[in-house]
Amino acid sequence: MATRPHFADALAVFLDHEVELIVVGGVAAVLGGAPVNTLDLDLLVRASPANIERTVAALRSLEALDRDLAGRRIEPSVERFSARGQHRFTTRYGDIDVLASIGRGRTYEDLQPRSRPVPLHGRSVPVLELEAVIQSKEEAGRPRDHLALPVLRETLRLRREG
Amino acid sequence: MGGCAPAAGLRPAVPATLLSARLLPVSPPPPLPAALDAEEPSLPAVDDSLADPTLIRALLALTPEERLDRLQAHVDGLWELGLGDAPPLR
Repeated sequence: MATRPHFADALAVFLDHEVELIVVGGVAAVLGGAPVNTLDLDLLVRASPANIERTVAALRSLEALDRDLAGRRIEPSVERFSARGQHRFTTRYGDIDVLASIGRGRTYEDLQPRSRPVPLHGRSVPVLELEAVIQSKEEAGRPRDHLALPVLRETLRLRREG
Repeated sequence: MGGCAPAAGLRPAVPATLLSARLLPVSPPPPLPAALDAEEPSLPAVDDSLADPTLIRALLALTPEERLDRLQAHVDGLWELGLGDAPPLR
């Protein structure tokens, strides 16, 4: 059964664990002003050993389990994350994708200059800027991503108009 | 980072679903994909018709925090309608 997303609370857990992250995907698009819907939180994390450990600790505190189609109960681990670099979790605050790269293999280090701190409920959260969200969806090439592009591009155009 | 749902002061005066349905239209969830790396469990609800300048300007007039609260209210509305308890979308 899907768990109701609680975006702000989920982010707070990662920040409490000092995870180096950038909010990407649909939530980043919404924060950038785009009227899109999403049920999951996508996080691009620095893939350093120390940060992976912090990420796994945050996921464990969220009671995260790998979203495994075979129904196996798979808890987050440093070894699994290091092996794949991309995991989709069900947590008590909703579904969370933790990614080591997005789009055409762009990492945290690649995209950090294209993120900006966004104040959310008293915290500062790094969020990928809308231009980079659009680029990542163009590069991902999935049908759903392409469906979102007209809205994202129009949002960017209107933002530039001021 | 605040509570699970938008703080009481940020809650819209009208039911969240009604308000969010206006700002964040939603279409039925896509069918279950079979592959592990299939589509994300999102409600895309985005097509050319949603590139509505009026709608976008309404969101751009909000702060990022208000935008996130609006998305959260929309999601809460889905769950209140029982739509969030559907099987995972992948």
